[in-house]
Amino acid sequence: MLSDDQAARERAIDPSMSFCVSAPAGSGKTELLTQRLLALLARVDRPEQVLAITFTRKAASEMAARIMEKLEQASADTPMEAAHERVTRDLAQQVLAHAQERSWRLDESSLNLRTIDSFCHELTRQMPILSGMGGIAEPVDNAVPLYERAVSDFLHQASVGKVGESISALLGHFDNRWNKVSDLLVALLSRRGDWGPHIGQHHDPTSAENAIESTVADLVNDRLDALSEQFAHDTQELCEVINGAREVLALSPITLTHDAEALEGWRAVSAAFLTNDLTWRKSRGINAKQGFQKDADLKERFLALLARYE
Amino acid sequence: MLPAVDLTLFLPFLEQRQIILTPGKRLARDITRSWVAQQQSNRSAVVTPRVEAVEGWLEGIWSECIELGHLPGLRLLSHQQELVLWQQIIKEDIAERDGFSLMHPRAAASRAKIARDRLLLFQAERLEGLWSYFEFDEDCSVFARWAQRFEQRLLQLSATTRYDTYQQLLSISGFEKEAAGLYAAPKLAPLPQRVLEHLCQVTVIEPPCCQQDEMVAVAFPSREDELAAAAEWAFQNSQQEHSRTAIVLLDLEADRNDLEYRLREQFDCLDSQYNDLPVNFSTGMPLGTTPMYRDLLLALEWETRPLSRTDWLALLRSPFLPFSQEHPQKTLTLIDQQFRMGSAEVSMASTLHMSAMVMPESMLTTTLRTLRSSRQQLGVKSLTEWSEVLRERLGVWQWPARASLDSIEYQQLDRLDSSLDALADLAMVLPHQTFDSALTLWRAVLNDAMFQPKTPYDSVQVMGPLEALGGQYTAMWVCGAQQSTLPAKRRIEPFLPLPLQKALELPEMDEQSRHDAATQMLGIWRAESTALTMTYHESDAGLPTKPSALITKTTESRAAASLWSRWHANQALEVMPLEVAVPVPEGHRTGGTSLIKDQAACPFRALVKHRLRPTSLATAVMGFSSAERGALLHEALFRFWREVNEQRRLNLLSDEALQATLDSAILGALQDLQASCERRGFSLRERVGTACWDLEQTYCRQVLLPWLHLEQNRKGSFRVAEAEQAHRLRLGDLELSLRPDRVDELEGGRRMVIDYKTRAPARSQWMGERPGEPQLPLYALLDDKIEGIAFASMAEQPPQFVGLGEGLGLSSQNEKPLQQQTKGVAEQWQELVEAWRGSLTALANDFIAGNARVDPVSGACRYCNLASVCRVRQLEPGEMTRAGEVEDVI
Repeated sequence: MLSDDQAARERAIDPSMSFCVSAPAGSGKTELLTQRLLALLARVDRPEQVLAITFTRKAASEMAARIMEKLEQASADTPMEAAHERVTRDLAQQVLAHAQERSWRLDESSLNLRTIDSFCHELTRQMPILSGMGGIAEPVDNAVPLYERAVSDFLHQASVGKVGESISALLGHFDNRWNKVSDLLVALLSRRGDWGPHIGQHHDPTSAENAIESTVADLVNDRLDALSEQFAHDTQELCEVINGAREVLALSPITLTHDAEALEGWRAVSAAFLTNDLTWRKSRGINAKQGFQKDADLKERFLALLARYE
Repeated sequence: MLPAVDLTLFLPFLEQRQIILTPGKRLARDITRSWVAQQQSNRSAVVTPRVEAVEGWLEGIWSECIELGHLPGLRLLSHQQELVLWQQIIKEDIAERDGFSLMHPRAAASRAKIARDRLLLFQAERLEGLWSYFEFDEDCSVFARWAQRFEQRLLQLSATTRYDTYQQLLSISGFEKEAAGLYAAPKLAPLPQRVLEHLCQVTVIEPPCCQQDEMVAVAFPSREDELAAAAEWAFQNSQQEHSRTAIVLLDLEADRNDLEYRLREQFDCLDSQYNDLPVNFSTGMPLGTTPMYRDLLLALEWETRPLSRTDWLALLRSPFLPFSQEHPQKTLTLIDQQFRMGSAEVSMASTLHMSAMVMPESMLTTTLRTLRSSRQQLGVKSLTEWSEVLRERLGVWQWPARASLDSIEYQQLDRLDSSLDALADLAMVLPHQTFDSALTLWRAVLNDAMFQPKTPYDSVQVMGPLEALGGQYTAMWVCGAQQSTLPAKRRIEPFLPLPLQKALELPEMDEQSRHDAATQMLGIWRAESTALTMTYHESDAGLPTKPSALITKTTESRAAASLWSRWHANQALEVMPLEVAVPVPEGHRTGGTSLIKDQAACPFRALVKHRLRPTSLATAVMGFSSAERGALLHEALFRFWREVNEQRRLNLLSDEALQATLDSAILGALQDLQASCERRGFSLRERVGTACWDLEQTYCRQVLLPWLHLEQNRKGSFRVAEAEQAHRLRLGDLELSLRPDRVDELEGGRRMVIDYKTRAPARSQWMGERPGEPQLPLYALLDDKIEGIAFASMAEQPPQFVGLGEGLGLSSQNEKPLQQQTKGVAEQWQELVEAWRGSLTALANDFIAGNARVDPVSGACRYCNLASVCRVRQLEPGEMTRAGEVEDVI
């Protein structure tokens, strides 16, 4: 087991291969990353040819400090007790020798450790044409006013052409409360990276619509599968009880399967079990309004189901 | 005072009247001034020395060569003309290629100009033959395409650029070489160096350089601490006689403004003495961003587009336009009314409309009228013509308005003509333009023109690293000696292929060159100042940072005390007076239902809203505001019931007739709302847009039709006895003005008051000593015949009445005994009315007595907008009736 772990660690610092390292907290991922960076630094012409990307400035700063600390320890030939520390020191000494050969002046500013934001910013600087920016684009800290402007321009297309009809339908759905719709769209825009790919962003309207429908269908199917599994032992009983109540209310019967056609049926189950606030119904709240007559056998059977799943 | 420059270095050239050339204008000016000052103290007649910056001198030589016919006559493009030409080329290129676009073509133009200049400066040959380098990189090949087109355009225009003129100067021959001294720091690029050597016998003037092994720097915890300490140090130094102090900012762009603020704090020049700061900054600010031009551009741009609320307010307050001191009270009214319109932006037309109503004879109204009448004359014109139109426009705006400008403002005004001339000069490279485009170009010209005030102040200089070379100082502070700034970072030119940049030996690419340049700079600074302080900061935005690798030793700093802490230490504490209730004086004991509601929610809120009455400007809204929507529904129902009047008639209407009557009521209500907005100076329909307007009509129908069906099905019968009728009610010493939405008369003459709501609160809000919704209980006190109250909850699904009272015919709830409805509070209606009278009178008396304690009921603070004047956060839990509950909701 230990030798497997050691072998995996050694493989992960092989610069000729790519790795994704996944391990628990405290298992030495950062040390491994440091070793890999040192291994890479020892084989490039310029230190900035090795790029390390982090999500935060703090992480980038800490990694840079860590690399410099290892180089200083290697330079002082500080004795190391732990085996992994000796590996790090050896790699750092290789970097120092390599740096001396190439007359590098190694300091934190010469290491190419960047946040993802800074990396993208640098890309737009280095490639003004390919990035489509034309020059450096300064990111704004607060993009909300820009989202608001975009949403306002979008909503003011209401009733203009086919898109306008859709916008009007959306506004109608929200009782013509433009501020409310704007707030929701602004919130959506600020997280467009999360949902954009799932709705076919940047595709034509038909493809986008198909993508949305497909995403929704997948979500529904997943949920129906989960429900079918959860109620597997009681599906028959649940179906009979709910249909009995629906008969009292003169409503059509439902089916409970994991097929999309059964969605209405599961909605009826949800309405029977849960209140509008999506909390479990209290037993005293089960009454004729839901089709369960006082003292009826049907009501007792439903209460038993409710007690089992509550 | 110490001369700006140590003249011993330049004396041989000055005494022999040889020309001295410097890399920048600043050093040339300082040498001249120091020499003149020295000569003035010795003789009566002073001959101005020949000291020039390289660029200016070469331009002079080039012009002379053209005049003498040694070079073909070409027009030298200005910086702005070059940029505009690049922009034109990029625009054409984008138009010609499908699927190619740039978000910031102006930035690309600027980058392209820099790239071409770098090529010329470092290659010192013609550009032909280089383009093969550019083929393998998309960015570089696009630039090469643009650059070749740029060359063609120069030929077509018979124009040239600054660095092309250097190339042309290399072609002249047959002249006697003049002797010249060249100050060697910073080092010139190869092309100007070569041209100088071609034209003169150059003697390099090496600056003294003091190299030491040890470089000590003082560490500060943060960038803010470092700048504050530098400002304090400069202030203390300036108090000493004959001092000449320099602060060198290694990251000038990032630190300049912050340092200026700190210096203003130190020298007390933040407010009224703003222009008296005794500090000279080597870098000025773009002329377009100075307050005088910033406001002018805003005013002119207002003609082309509506302004944001912030910009509009800035315009009204501008000291450079004639409105800031005019009718202050009426201007406040104008601002208030303009904001009440609800638009996020303010158009010139709406301000004119409003201003004509509020202050018809004002200068603002007159100016806007003049501008409106001349609007049609704009159209498309040449930039030469636009520069004249702009001159006239300044007259209309009476800019710069102030009778007496201070010295700095006067210097800024002095640049007006040259900036308009520069705009007119763009006609050479641009076709006719619209007013909008002309303004954009003028803004660019103004932003391109750096304004650096000529001040008599010399004792404190703030400079970038290169400007500090060549001066002489009693003390110098070098700020921001970080690992990232000293030596300068490697910089890659995105439009030039990397192999070419290496081949041309651009100094930014080579680590050793950058290191040598930084070391030389340090040596020169050391030599030119009696005392050198080097500092850096250990953290930036909360992250640790490192000192420059050139620093060999660091010491810890003593952080400068902040201005606030120094001020605070000198102030005596004031004692707050004890709270004493101040009763409402007689004659002012009136109000409406909101007064009782506020007093019930929190006595302090009632004091602020109904006695102190501060007003806040209305916020912008998209579509209809809640108030407008409420007013619309109320008015539509008012109109409907005025027509139909009773349930019997309602039930006689066919579906079509009901819908038609309702549509007519809604349309009338919309027209009424529009008319009321027009009386206030704006068109609601225009603000919300036609789509929103039409949708609102549909929404009203969707809400009101189901509601009327509910009214049709009410048990018993009713007639609308009154709607929106004014009443007065005395509660203790307080007289209230009330206006119930509707009072229905039921069978047997009993009455019920109805209040329209989109969504009704719970009945519990009518109960208790401090009811959350006291409006209907107050109405219940109006008339003995009233035996029921109800909220009409219209937008609920399904719509419903939420009422209180027996036998009202509203819902099954009202069929229950009153005791059950009120959860035991009252068995009889009269008993309930008396309970309300008691609690509501107590609230009224509390208000009259001046009880203004901060004592919010649960949830009252959630949407309260008085946080800035309320000390609810400072109260101890025991001081409030519901202290603990408030904590969670604020």
